[in-house]
Amino acid sequence: MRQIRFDGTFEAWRAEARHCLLAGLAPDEVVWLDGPGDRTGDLFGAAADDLPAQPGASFRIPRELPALLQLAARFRCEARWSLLYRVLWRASRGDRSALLAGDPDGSLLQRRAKAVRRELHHLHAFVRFRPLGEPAKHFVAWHEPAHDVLELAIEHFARRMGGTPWMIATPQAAALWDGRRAALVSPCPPTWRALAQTAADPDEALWLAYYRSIFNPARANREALLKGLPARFWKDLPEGTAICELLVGARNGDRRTGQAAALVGRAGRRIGREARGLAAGQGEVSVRESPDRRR
Amino acid sequence: MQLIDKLSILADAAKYDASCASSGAPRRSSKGRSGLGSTSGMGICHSFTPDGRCVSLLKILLTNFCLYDCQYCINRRSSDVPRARFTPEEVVRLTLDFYRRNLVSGLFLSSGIIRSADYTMEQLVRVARLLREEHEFRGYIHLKTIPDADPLLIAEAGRHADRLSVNVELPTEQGLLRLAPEKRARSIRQAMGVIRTGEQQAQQEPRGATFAPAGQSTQMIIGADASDDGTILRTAETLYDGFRLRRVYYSAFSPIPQSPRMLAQQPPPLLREHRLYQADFLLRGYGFRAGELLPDNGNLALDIDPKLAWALANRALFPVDLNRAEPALIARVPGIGVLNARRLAELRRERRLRYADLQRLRCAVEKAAPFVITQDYRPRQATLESAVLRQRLRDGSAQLELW
Repeated sequence: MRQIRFDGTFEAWRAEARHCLLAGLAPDEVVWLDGPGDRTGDLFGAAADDLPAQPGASFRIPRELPALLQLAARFRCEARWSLLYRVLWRASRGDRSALLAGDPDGSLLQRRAKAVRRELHHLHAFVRFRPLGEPAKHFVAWHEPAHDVLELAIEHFARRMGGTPWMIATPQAAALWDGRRAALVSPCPPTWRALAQTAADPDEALWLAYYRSIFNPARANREALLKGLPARFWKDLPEGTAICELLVGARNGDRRTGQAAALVGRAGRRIGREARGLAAGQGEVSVRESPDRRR
Repeated sequence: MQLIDKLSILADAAKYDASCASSGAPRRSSKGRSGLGSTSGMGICHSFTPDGRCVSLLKILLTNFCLYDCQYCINRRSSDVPRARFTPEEVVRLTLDFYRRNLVSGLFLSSGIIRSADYTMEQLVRVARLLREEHEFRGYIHLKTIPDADPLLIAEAGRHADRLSVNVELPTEQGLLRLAPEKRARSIRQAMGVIRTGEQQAQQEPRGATFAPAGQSTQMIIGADASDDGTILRTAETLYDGFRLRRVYYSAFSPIPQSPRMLAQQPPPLLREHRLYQADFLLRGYGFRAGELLPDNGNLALDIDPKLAWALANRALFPVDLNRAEPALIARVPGIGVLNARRLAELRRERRLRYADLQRLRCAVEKAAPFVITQDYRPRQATLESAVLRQRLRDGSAQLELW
């Protein structure tokens, strides 16, 4: 049994795994220890670069494997690295099915890669930028991803925001874009964290009004909501607090029609056939034509 | 009227349009340039409302004043609802503000008909032009196209927008005549034709201006008139074939305040809508024809999905040997999707397929079991009568229960 200590990055693991493979170490002969530790003379584990390579050892792996392993390595779990080495070991011996979803190892690997892609998508979707300054010059966000995906999202937001500077803080790291260059800072400095968590948005009411109105109470469907927007994200979304209120409203009778609760019974306006052009021109048209039924 | 008040009214007025997709646009980026916004081809759902629908775009009407009297529509001229109208600048401001906060990926703008079809279309195009030219906005834009609008206006809309859509609203011309007296099936199809021609011209000149690169879509209302699923799916198929539509959306009719008597007053038929989407998916992704799914018109079964219904009606083709069959036939097995059919074909190049492989791929094994053969498995149910099998495989009736 060989214990291998490395700094927890994929690049370091990749170098160590290469040594192990060349030395002919089988997956059950290796224990991976990530995280900080004294590399020299560590009681538990050392690097693998002192392993003697077997004479004439070399290996070939499928071209798509490194990228797949790198993606799956972002999945946070206890035994992150041992699965990767097992797949690498099998693939290096010509067993291509180790990569495929129909294989026991392959299906686990593919499932982790898929979960990472999905979490990246969650990050792209559910990050909420709040403006700093008046007028807003910078945008900051607080987000808690379940896997190590922040780094992968930098390019997406750089393309999206163009010259606008932004910062995304997470419990682990922070990503920063100044309009031209990107940086990943790990761990996230406490002041940045505080900034991202306390920023307030004066225009939040507009978004909440939109969210309440675009919801159709006649179609309320809690399961579909939870599938698309897992409850763990609600606390950092401005609309998070409105969700329960809207669901309760729907259950208590709002679902008779699709209209938003705020508009039900409000004064309306019928338009006569002869009223051609009436709506045009003026931006502000009085809507108090019929008695307000709320009162 | 305050902006927030207008937003409440004009978002409420827009929500009966089911589409909120932001996919299919070409790759655009604002990195290292002035302006704002990007697209990647993949849509993003930035939020979900408690009805389970995705919020991808700012979906609003420019105005809900309308000269038409379509009975199924909350904004019809005889409807007693609050009315409002945005200025183009207000729509631009909301779009950019929401976009910077990462709340939406773009704008889906529609409108009630004011003054004339041309005037209304001109207003919609103006918003898109402001966004694209003055603010260099590179996010997603979906514009509703007004039938009867000047083809030149539609052409300009196509230059700015990623997607255009014209709603057919009802599957038959008679339905349209009865419920939407001002709309004509002919002019709706003409507008679709103009968009299709624009797309074709842009494809022939790869270096010329783009034209609605995410294509066109449409929507049919389900349950407002008496059309059956067969009629609906055949209409959809004709539209897919004739105009290369990317999507047909099905919108279960939700009762609206003071619904006219001639319309259904029940809650929206969500399960029926769900089955139509499943059948539509089989038309687009699996090579099924509407005539195969519903040989003699009528409605899709509600208790089983359309693929299972088709398999039960075609037992002679089953069980399918997964180690030998064409991938296209494997994708027709209930419980196995196109993606898993491809994975199975990949895996069987390495070794023989076994029953456990279906479980590992997370196929709906219970559904697939009576219809497949693997190296270690033959279905005992292969001789069961279809009616019995249907009893066993039907979806729990509580699945889409409303209350």
